[in-house]
Amino acid sequence: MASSIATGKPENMRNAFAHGAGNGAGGWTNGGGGGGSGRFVPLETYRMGMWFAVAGIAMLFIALTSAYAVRQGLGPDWQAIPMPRILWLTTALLLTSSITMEKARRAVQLEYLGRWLAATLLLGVAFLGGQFFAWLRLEAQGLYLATNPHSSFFYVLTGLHGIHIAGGIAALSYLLLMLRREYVLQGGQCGPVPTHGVRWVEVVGIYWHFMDGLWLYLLVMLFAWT
Amino acid sequence: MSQHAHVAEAPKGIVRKYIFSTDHKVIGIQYLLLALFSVFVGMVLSVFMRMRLAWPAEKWPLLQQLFPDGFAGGPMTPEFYLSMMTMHGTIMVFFVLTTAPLSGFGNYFLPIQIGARDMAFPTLNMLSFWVTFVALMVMMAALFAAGGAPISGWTGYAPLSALGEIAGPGLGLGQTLWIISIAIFCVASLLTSLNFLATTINLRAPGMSLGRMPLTVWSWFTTAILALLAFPVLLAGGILLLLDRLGGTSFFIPGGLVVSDQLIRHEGGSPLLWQHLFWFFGHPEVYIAILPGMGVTSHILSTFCRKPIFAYKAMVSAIFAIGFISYIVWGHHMFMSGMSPYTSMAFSITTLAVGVPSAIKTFNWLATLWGSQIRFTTAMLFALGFVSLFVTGGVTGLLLAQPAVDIFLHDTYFVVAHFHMIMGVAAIFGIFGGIFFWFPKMFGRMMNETLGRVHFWLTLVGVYAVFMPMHFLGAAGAPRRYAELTEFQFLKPLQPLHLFISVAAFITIASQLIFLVNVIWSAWKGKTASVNPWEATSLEWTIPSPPPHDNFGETEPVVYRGPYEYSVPGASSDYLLQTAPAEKVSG
Repeated sequence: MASSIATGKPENMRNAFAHGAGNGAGGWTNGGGGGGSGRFVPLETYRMGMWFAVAGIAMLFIALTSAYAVRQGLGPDWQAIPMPRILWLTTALLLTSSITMEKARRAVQLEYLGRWLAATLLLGVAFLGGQFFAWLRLEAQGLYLATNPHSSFFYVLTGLHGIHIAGGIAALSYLLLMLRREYVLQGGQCGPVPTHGVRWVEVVGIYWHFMDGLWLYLLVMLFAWT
Repeated sequence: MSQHAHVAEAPKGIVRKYIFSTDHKVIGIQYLLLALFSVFVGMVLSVFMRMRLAWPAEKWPLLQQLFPDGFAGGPMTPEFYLSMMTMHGTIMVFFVLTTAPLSGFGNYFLPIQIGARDMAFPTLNMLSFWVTFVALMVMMAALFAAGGAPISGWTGYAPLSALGEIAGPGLGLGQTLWIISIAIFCVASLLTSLNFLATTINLRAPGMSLGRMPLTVWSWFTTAILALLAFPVLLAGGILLLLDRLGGTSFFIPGGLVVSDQLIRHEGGSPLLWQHLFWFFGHPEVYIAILPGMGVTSHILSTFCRKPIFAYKAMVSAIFAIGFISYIVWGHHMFMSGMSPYTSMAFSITTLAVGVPSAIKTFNWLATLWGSQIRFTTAMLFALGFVSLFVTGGVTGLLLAQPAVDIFLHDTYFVVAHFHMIMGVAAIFGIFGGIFFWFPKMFGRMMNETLGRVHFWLTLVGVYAVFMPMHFLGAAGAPRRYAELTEFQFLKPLQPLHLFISVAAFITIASQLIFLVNVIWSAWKGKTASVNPWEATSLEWTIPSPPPHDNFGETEPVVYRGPYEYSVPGASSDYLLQTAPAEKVSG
């Protein structure tokens, strides 16, 4: 399959459409939320839009961090809950998924892109499953949302992070469906990644890496920072 | 260029063209219509409040039939008054003052003024509007919720907002819907602001350097930064508040509360924590409402003074300074909440510092006006009105910024007068100015100037008549949020003032009908507008009125000069379009 690499390095492709190559293969013309106008928006704009979205999401968690710090200092009702051991596993899963996401981002050929994206998606689903299992473990120990402020924050922070991961999984699924369509359009041949696909992989990549970093931050905040 | 041919295609069919449109101009108008509906609802609610305050014991048989609970026993119940007040504030702040100046005008004119065909992410833009629409519908549901609308104010202070039905009418389902609506609104604002930022940074036409952007664009850009970083904080607070209500957590509910003779089974939470989260959002929110008005005012003043705006760079710096300082002043809303006096002093100093960039803006507006030959259009009148209201409302801000003074004035009508002047009415004047200025571009027809002038003077005199006396009420110690002030001996002599305010408010509200008639009549029958009826310079005046689907058609505009080149010495006309190349200047 590697023999069908057509256009060379991804940098070339990105440059190509950064200079106005516009939309590539047929299945992708309804570009990047272009709403049918088919106009040309450079990749840099998509990156920037995602960076701003990440800034907004970061503010959400910064606000929760300040609430966490304030609430922790308020009184004796704060009782630290034990860390569910499965979180080590889910952390490993998420870190691995960042590697597979990066592999996907660097893929120049449709088939490899599809494989790495599917791997990322599966790891993401496994992570969510593991997080849910952690919730079940805590509940089995009688630690519920309202038990004490630390357990409250644990459920709130893992829940909000999980919702964001679920959003990433939805984006990955959409991306894979598009790749599938492209694969069919290319007549079952695995050709180069179309420009619109590159855009999506770029922004989902930024998002996914951020969610990975955010999880490490939350883990440290919840269980190492007292 | 096959791509450009593709570009000119406008969507067919009513649904794609007018409802689920991705065209930034259609979305801008959708936001303005949403704000128009909201401002109507908000005004009706204020009529209810003013009725109660002016005639405390009066019975309203017709209203009693419509709202049997709210008028139980004859006069309006205090709880009903509180729910009117809560919904008035919420709807006005979120669905009028945030949506119209930023999402409405910003959506329509930001892409055109920087020479772009559309926003960076049109589908996301459409999504932002419809998410906002859902938020408004949920808020309407809160207004008509079983058990009444919430009564905890637009600030939703905990623990009142966190306890549920037991704490009072409207605090059950109504309050829950209120929080959900605000949370949805936060998400929509986040999407809108990231779109604005990416568009401004990446989609400017050739030659449109940062120093050539109109001040309107600068103000929308700064406002978008504020919205991007402020709304997530409110969202965080809203999520925690919702969990306190529905999940049994104790983020904001302290221990040992006895409400309605019942001990509340929560402990350890802090109502102050909610106040910090809320006001960390809430103060930037004030500037989210007012900054676009400053941009529009600068733009209009320069156009109708036929002079460049005085000190363009200082104006841009002042916008940024105000935006930055807005993040470090939130504590001034909490001087009376038991904060350390040293913290109060720090917040007091940062708050007073806002006066510096604000004064820079005001003096630059005056310097722009100085010695100019003013064209007194209605848009210009509203811009001048904005300056007047901005100064009136701003000066009282300096008084309230001082903790010692605020101890007396806090939660009195003085505060009500202050924020209505600067955040409410000044921002509304910015919106009116924008409508009169851009209506010809948006709808291809001129608005009626005579009706416009009558509307302006009635509104200007009206709002001063409504809000100036409130300063005296506040100075006399009249507390805000009370449905009835006749219980207090020392306030009894001031009751005629309440009557005066109510009558003035009703006349002012009624005179808005003139505006409504003007808009509707002008949209159908107004004089046809030329491409550039005001002889202005920015890019929106280089394209047809109304602009086509893709704004600039086949040719991308090229920008050669700044946005305010009026009365340039040696030029052939008294204004130079931003697209005018150097060789066309003299001749």
